[in-house]
Amino acid sequence: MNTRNLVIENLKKEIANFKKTSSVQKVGVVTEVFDGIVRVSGLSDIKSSEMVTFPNGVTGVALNLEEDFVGIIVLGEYNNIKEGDEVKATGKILEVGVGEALIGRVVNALALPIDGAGAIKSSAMYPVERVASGVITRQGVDQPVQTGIKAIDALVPIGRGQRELIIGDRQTGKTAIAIDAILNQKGQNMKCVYVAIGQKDSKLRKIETRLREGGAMEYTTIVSAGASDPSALAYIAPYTGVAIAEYFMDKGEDVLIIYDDLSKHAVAYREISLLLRRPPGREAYPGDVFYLHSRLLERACRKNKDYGGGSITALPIIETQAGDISAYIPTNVISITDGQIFLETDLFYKGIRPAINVGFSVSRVGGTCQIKAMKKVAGTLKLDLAQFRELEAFSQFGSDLDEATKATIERGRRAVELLKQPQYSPVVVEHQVVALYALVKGYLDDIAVTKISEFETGLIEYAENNAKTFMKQVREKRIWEDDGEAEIKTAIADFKKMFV
Amino acid sequence: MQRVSSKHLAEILLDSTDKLDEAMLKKTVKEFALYLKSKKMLRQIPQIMENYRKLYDKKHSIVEAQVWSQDRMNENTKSHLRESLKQRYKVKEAHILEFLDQRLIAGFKIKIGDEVYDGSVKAKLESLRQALIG
Repeated sequence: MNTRNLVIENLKKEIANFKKTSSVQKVGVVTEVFDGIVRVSGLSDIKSSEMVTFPNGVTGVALNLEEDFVGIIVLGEYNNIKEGDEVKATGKILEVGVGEALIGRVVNALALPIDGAGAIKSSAMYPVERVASGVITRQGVDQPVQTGIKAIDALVPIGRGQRELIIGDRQTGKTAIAIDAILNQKGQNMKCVYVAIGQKDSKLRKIETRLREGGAMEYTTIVSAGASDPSALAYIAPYTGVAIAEYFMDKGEDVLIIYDDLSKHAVAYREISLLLRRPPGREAYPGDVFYLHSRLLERACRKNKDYGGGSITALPIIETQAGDISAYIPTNVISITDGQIFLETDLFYKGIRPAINVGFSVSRVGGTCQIKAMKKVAGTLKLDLAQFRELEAFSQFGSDLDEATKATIERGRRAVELLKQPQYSPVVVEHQVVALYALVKGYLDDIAVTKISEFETGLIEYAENNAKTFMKQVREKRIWEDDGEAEIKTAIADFKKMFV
Repeated sequence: MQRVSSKHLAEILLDSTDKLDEAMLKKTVKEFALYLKSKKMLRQIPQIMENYRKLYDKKHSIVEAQVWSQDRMNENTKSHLRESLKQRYKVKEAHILEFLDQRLIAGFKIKIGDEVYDGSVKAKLESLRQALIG
């Protein structure tokens, strides 16, 4: 049979196979259109958050079901919708296509591609709104997420399945931390989803290029609802992101998801709510703005072995105004998450970057998800830093200090210096352990503060070559043994002689 | 003041106009309209009318279908359609409002309340198009 006939035969077969859909449909009529909100009369049996379609093919979601009409948000272009248009109910709750094909792609809030690299063949459809995994399916967080940022891995460790808030003013490096964390997941068995909400397209492009250069797009999906997209899309973008993540979690994989940022998400939801005439509350946010974020972040979890053992780690970002963490949305999200990384403008301009305020930052899951070696070195470090901060403030008034106080202050200065780290340069955990070991054991006390970073780089290189047992033990057994410790001690001492 | 729903107003209108002669009916409707005006509720008139229609049809067991076709239907088809509507919606009376639409090519499109049965060739071609490109 030649190709011509083959094509025709197949086409005939395809057409014969069409299901004759019983064409009973529920419809409504548009009575009002304004600012991305459509009011529809009819649609009497519609469900809450059911998808509807408009004549131009645009999708909408029913949010307000009232006595005489239905309030619908339009997910896309709403300028072509006019009064009298017929709206069709689909009978389906809003869902998006998910699957491996999304990895390495940039998609919009409906998981459709916006990177110009062709259509995405999704493996499954997942509902955008889904009830979080229940108690029975979960287990405690005990595996670390290595962010590659010394200050975080040592002092506010994050575990797989945790929700850690990144909070700070504009321009304090919140996104930088998130991007570094993604970059460091290479080879760590982690899928990443970066959800950009209300971000400038230029910034998104920069991030995408950066991730591609770092090879991070091999395991990352970017979901974007840009600044020029309707707020309805900004509202559903994080839920789409977590639906994409849930697909991987259900397959037993670990996922890191970043919501950048939830303050813009809350603003988008406020806009929609006010347009739908829902009563405003504090700061004009609707009454359910807490539930908006709690149901989103509750979907981050660590499943136990019987349920596949996958996890979703969430790093939501919140932008504060002039350092005010007691505003409505920041306090909400702080109370929902399992800890926060607090970034400060003052520290940023003092040159302490990442500008993490170690005193205000906590991780409520904490030590259980650190590797043993890190736990051992970081335990003393936290104490050293706390004492340093107290004494530093006190010592500004007088010059006569006793030796012990002076020593604590000097140690603290070196610790702060050691925790500095340039952008896009994550440090692997065994290197972090070497540097911190040298600090807490006092090897850095006679190195000038300005030389610390130079010493650190040199030491790590030297230790890689001259303390191989120690490195191997930390890498594989996650703790050093006596022979390894002896080796690193001599290595540090030897390197110090060379360095001075 | 609590807002009175248009459904509630439609119920009142239905109850108060039940079994009245024409003169009384005119008077009652006029009073109803004046009441709405005094309460500044004239904006709700479309919803009230819609609800009134629904309630009246329900009370008197009527179903009203809007039918679009490419050509005029003959009486035979109409009575057949009426019978099947009566059976499906379990009502005593079925009314048909006819509309012509050249774009359907052939077949009917029937709308009852917010339910639509689209049996036109146009709809079938559309679903074929969707299936082929999707």
